Amino acid sequence: MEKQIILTVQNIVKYYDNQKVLNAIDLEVRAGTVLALMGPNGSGKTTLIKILSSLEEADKGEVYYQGELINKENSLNFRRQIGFIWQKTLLYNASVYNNVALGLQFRNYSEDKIKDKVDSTLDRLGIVDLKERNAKSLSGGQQQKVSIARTLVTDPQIIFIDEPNTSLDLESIELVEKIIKEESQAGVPIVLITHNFYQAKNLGDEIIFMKEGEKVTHETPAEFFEQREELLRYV
Amino acid sequence: MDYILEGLSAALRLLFNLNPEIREIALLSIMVSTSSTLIASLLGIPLGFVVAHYDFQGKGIIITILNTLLSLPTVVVGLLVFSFISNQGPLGNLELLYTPLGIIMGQTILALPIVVTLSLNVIKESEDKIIDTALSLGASKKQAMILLFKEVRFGILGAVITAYGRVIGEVGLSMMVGGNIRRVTRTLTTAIAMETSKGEFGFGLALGIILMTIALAINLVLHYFQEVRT
Repeated sequence: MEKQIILTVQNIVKYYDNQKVLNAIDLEVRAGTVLALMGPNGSGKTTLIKILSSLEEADKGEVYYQGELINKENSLNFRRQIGFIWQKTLLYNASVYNNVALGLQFRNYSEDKIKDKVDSTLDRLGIVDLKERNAKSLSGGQQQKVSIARTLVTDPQIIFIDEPNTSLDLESIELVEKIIKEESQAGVPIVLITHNFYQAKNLGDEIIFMKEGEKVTHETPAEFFEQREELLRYV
Repeated sequence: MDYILEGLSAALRLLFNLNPEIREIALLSIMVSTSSTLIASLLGIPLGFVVAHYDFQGKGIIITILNTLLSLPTVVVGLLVFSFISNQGPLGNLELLYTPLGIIMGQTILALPIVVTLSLNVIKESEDKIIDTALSLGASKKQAMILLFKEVRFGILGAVITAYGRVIGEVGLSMMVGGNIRRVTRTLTTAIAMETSKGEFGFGLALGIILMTIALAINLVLHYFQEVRT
């Protein structure tokens, strides 16, 4: 049975300073699927996921979430359905608890509900003991865990991950991979930007390879790694 | 060496006896510099935000001018303000020359580019990342802006304190626009310059100690907010 389409993107075009950085991108993101975005630096991957997640507007084209066109009126509601794990973690100058609670506060959850959800998420990531620490005083690996907790606490319906391996230790990379597996098995679609083709092969259900703002291929890892070896030299 | 020690002993005597003239001079300095810094902050912080946040034609030129104004000599500002508020100047009828208000006006001009430029840099440096992260966590645009200001508040406080340090320590402008009139416009710096040239080294030193104490207090406050509160 074919998995349900969660996100549809049609003919996305984006310019920065009159230069086209994305050209006619079409794609679909399905429930429980890990879509790996690969391609050289400057190929438009980060811009694409910023448009997919409504953090940036496209100059042309449409994004549909569960069949509904995302526009200015409903983009806030849409952003409250997604989670984003950034390449470089930015934690706010506050305790771990307050950092993780932030997304729930934005959604106007009650204090009791926030406490329950934050506690259970910190527990899931094994960082309950860091709860009262200032997030900025933590090590890189601990900060990444807090950042993941902050994303998961809102129960996102889609998760975008931008190059999780950059400047991370092995334990944190394994944690990110574990979360990707757990969440996708739970039916959450994941859009993952990665330069690591082992990660794309092992975690990805589909791979999109981008170059100069265009989608070069969109296929399964098996097809991709059999037929497209010449593309890997760009990564 | 004896000269310095004698001066120091005279200075300490004056300070411990709470010499009324010294107290008056210190209070006037604090009042004038606090007022000018406050006005510069009320104008400068929003201006810094506008320049950092919005893209418009001529933005680069404005930033270059602001950076140039950072190193504006105090006597040049004094000259400018003097030309406006002297009897023949366009604001001459307001009778601001040789008044504390005149000094406040000049010091505001001195402090404004510091507050604008440093606030602008603090906001520009972190704005994109803070806003993008907040939006990705489900913040509305208003919630994201509130978070941005919460995050940059200590950086902006640093800008305000730097501006205060500049105006409380300036002498050229206060001398030209204020005229160093006893009990009217005599500030710590103009008094130090005058008393020392009169040979009243102890009196000058006492005022210098107060100025240094204010500078130290300002930096301790800044350190507290930047380090202890994080």
